[in-house]
Amino acid sequence: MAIEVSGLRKYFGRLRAVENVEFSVGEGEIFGFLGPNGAGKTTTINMLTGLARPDSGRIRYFGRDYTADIKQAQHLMGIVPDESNLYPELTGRENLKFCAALYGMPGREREQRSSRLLETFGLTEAAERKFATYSRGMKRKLTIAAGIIHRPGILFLDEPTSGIDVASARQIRSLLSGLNRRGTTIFLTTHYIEEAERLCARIAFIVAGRIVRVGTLDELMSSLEAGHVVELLTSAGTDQLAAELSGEFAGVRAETVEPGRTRLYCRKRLDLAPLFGFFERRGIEVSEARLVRPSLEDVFVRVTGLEIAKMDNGGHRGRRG
Amino acid sequence: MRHWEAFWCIVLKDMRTYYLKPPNLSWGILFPVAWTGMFFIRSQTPVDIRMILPGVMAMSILFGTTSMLAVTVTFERKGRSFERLLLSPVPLRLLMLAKTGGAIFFGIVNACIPVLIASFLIDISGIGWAALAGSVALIAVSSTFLGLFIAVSVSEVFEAQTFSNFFRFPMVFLCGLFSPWPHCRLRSSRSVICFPSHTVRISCTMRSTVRAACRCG
Ligand SMILES: Nc1ncnc2c1ncn2[C@@H]1O[C@H](COP(=O)(O)OP(=O)(O)O)[C@@H](O)[C@H]1O
Ligand SMILES: [Mg+2]
Repeated sequence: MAIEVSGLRKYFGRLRAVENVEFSVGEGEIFGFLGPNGAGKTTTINMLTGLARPDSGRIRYFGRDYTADIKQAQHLMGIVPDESNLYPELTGRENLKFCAALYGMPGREREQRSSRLLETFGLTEAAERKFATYSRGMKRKLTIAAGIIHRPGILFLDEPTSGIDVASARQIRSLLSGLNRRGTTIFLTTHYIEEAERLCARIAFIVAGRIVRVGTLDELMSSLEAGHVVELLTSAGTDQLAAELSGEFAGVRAETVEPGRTRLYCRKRLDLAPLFGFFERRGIEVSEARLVRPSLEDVFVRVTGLEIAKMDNGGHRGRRG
Repeated sequence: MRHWEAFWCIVLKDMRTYYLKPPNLSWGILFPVAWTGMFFIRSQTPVDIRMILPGVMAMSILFGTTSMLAVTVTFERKGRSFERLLLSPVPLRLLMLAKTGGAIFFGIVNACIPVLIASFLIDISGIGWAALAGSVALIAVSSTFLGLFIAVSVSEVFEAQTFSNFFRFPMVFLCGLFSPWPHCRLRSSRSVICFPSHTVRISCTMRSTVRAACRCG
């Protein structure tokens, strides 16, 4: 296991930032921490990387316990914070070379590795410009380049694509996939469900400082109470009808999404013939029936009870007592 | 040692990027120059300049190092680039040594400004250079740590400069430049600036005495 964490806890005064967080990340995996703003994602990363001291809990990297002295593990990890923290008055290239030096890389290698990364991240042309003049997307890319300059085994990224343009975000995601294919273990936090779904092999939902569910995408999907969702488009459809449907078919829960659009949730595969019979008897025409795969979003909403629209505005806060 | 490489890079970067940064320029360089000029112009005789030189040097160092740390530490903490250093495998002590090293060196360079100006005005032969260097280094180190104390306790650069002034200005009065009263000197000999400024004074004025003392030590 690349990362093993147990019983991690952090309070700021009476404010619960992180409580009893427990998870492990296999070598070569992309693990995602998904949760609304204020859920405790950054606090967790800070504790894992040595910027914050946990109140309690254990942190192990590659099988060794580093809880008491994270400093000893810092050469194993690359860290990309939520806001770029490079030096505004240095150029892109100088920034990379400086970061390489921090990890004890000799002069010649610093030079070569910086040029290589500038090229990979499409920043060669801006290499001699001051970091302060970069756009948000460029800044984020250079920060990622700085994070991997010493070829770390584990890369931590805090909201790597938040607040940057779509094209840069896509480029960053593909760079991260590439890195991961070459063996880097990646731990990232995000409040974009779509990003977690696209990038991560395993995902933990974190809400108000607690992990509410962990699993692979498939595990999370199948954990949803309704294994199968069928959506019907009908010439008429009301809540009354939905109630009748639920009554007639055992193990089926029906819900009217909007008039004429009904969703049926059930655990087993649904036999469609009796269903069509039900509507025919009532003189209602079924124009379309399709199987809806639950999205990660459905799972998230169901498990956490949070609405997606609320993901961005402050989120939940836990208080002790 | 791999970490020494990092150490030098931090020191050199701080020197390159911060020595000429505006807050540093005004408080660390322009102020001591103006200050030195003011005192020297006012002094009527060469003897006078020699008497004033130690205090002026000590003040230059104090202002230089404290403003330097306000930039290297407070400024970087605000811009979060300080976190990058904390996240690197460089041991904390070495890191602080690197951050203060640039300031200590800056203070020593600052101490040379008044000496340089004085060398055009008076004959500076007879100074105990070894003792002078030692005292200058001592002031630079102690005032750098005063600066560090200030830099970590505030969050804005201007706050660091203002907060520093609470220490710096009283020291101007305590170091004996303005007030030669004995009781004041006695009290002030405990302040960061005074004790070393006395040693600078001794090294500037009594070369032979210091030499003898050095030999004994
Ligand atoms: N230094 C701090 N002092 C006090 N409270 C903090 C501090 N850092 C974070 N918090 C609080 O801890 C909670 C978790 O924050 P954070 O980990 O930044 O969330 P996320 O990164 O998931 O958005 C929030 O309620 C936040 O206000
Ligand atoms: Mg955060």
